[in-house]
Amino acid sequence: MTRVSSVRRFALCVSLVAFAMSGCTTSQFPSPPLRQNPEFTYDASGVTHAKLSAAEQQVNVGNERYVSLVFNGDYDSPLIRTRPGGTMAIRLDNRMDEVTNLHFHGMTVSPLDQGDNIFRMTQPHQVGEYNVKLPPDHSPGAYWYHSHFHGGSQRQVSAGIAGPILVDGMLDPFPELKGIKEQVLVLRNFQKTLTGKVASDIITSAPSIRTINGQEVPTIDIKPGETQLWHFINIAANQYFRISINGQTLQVLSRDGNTVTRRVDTDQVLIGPSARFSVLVVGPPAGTYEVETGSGNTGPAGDQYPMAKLAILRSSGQQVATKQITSPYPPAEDLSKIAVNKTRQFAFQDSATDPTAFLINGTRFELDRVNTTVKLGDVEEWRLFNPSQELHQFHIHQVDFQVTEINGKPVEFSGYRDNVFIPATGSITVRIPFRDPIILGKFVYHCHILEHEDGGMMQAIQVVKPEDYEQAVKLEPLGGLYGENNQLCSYLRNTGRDPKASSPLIPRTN
Amino acid sequence: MSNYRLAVVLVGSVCAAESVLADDGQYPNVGMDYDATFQYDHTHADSPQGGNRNTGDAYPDINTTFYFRFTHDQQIQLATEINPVAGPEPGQKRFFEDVGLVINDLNYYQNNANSAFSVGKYHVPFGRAQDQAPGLYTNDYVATYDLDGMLGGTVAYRYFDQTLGMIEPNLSVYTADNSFLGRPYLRHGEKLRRSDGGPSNTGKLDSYAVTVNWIAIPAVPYLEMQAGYMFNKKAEDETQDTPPGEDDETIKIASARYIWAYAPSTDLEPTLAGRYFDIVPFVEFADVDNEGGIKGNDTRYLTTSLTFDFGDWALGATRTDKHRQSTGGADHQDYLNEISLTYNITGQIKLGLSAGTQKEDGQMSELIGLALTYSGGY
Repeated sequence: MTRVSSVRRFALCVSLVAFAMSGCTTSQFPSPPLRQNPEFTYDASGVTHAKLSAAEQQVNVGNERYVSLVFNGDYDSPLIRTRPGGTMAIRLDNRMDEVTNLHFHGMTVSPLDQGDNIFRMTQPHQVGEYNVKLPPDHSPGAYWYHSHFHGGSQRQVSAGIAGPILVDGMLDPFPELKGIKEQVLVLRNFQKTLTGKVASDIITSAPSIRTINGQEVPTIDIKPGETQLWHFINIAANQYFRISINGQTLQVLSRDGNTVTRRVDTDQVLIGPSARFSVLVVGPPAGTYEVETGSGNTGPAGDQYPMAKLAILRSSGQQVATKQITSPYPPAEDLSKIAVNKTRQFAFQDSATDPTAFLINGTRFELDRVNTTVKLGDVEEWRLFNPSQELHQFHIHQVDFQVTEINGKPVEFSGYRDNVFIPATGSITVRIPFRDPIILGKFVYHCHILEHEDGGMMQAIQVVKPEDYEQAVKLEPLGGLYGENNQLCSYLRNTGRDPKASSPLIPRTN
Repeated sequence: MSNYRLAVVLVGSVCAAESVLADDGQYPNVGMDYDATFQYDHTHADSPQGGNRNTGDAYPDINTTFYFRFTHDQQIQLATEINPVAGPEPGQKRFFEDVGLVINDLNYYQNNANSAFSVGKYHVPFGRAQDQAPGLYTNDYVATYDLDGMLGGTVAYRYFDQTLGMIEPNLSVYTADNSFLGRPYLRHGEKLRRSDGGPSNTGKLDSYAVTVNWIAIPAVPYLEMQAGYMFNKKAEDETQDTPPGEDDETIKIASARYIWAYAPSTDLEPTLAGRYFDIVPFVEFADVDNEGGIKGNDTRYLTTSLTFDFGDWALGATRTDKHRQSTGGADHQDYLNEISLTYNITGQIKLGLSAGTQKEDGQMSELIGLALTYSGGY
């Protein structure tokens, strides 16, 4: 080897090591003001019309340019605003060269037909129509939409095929908070690459750009004493966010779109993949404060990523009166106090032989098979245990649940959620009310670390009317009562019901 | 086509496929995982070997796996390893010498909802000490039953019961690789020949291994157990007077691993903050008859280890006893002791240190090693 080429190789090695460790560096760019998400909102009839064009193109990711997969030409995806009783009429224009679809995460809506049906796919250069009706009593709060295309969801979500949803009305029970400023803070991370394109293989521990609303370290303005409502929405594919503001106390108002039932204060918000936290932030004395996410370590067999500065909180101007909650919190039923109809156990485990395979009860996800059948009206207790040396993040579609135990120890009730961590070599017990008839249909539960979901850590569940239970169980290996594509017509065919009969699945009316 | 040209074509075709990358849901597609390790081993022998008590070896160990996926669950995988083709001579000092490329896997692999199988050149899933015992050297010490690069097939079925947990039987049928895939590339070396003899080197699929893994038991979810039996047919040698079948190698194995985690450290905040703590005891016993296809060369391996995981750190202690009972002579007791420390510098870079003592064939030696590994994918 010549001296010149050896020097070049040495320089290349140094560059690669520097690149690999560059996740520890901080941005040298000035801190821009936090921008608001582009938004689709509802009309007078409560319908939100939104067109989401998914395409591969060059966009700004923080302060860098990357070719990625995004909605409507921007890494900062549009906010879809709706309200209880409203409808989201969404046109998914898939201009990508790959299959995709949409899931409306956390929403208690129908999983059938053109609703929150993740068994439907939109092929490349095709259009998918979604018509998602929210029941009038739908819980207000922060939700999100994202690709749920099995096998490719990790990459697509990481690239940008995901965005926030806000269901208005969270502050209605608290008139004393009327008029406070709301901020939607969409959290994500984007893997750095040398190619200038979105990574083809997502590596959760790789250096990445952590953004809020697509921006690196934006400035969030507040006045001293001012109360603001911040909706943290973690739409990253795999990463946890551990957010703190220089020791400031944050008051949690809502988790996963469910208003808490009692006061919950914290100085650090732990936001798992897919989780949402809506918190009240009070402006500190004038000055600047760092909003940061702590380093992440998901266990000896898991991922590690460094801490990062996410934003700057700038407190300035005249001191204003702080608004505080004085109204009672909206009540919710404590499910730990009722008798359950059934208990089940689920092992969320890493495969011992294949590092890309992840299992629930020894099974990898299969699209045309139902694993669990539940009777409408039942409340079930599920014990989720994790024999792996890394975290898993349980999520179930269409319904919220109550965490009753962590590692066998009771958890004080403070509201429902739709996702929760399962401790590495630990367990979580949840109680799930399958009561709302709007959830009749087929949907899934899975680990929301999307690397694990794509690797097979997902199962299909069908919720059926009690009189259909036996037939539904028989059809589990064939895709269940609602058929492979999860449609009302399949249900009618499989149960021999009259297709002309009205409301065979008791759909709600607004 | 020469072997070199074939290798170039295989690698080149994977690298050239720019339009279909990774698992984006469009098939077929390709992907790649790799880890690159720089390792330095220093051995001090208690008695001179080759005129020098000290042996040093600095070398790369680069493992790369290419995937060619037909569907989400079906793929061809090619795993290569670049490292020294043979170990150093006693007393030798080496720096990146004798490095070659070997093909560890080239197989069709399919993973279904409850079953998985692969056909081709593959690693026989048998025993756990090579993966679960901490340290840099134990995997070499138990290489007798850690069979890499065999030709044949393996099938596993996963059965789950709400009371029993997951029971996974696995059957492998194989023979040693005498093909061009079994030779080192980029460096002079010979492939294994039939005439070399040895266990499972018969050219027929007449060696097999059966294992049963029992894990995720709801009552004791952090206990993992494995039992197995391996039969390696010895090639018949007309020059020897040993009756056929009497020198076939058989191995019976049983292992248990338990993960005890300090419960408060498994809550979300301490885990994310790097304060997760667990202790992992592991024990594996292997009873080998006719090791190496040598009649009467009966050995027993007992590997015991303890691992302490704390956030980014892992501290491990491993001892492997190897007891050899010779038919005509005295028994031999060899062993390997290892203390190891691993630190995850980042999620992709880790540093491993290991120090130990070893007795092998009556020769005492001390070992110390350092390994720096970078892992990635494409």
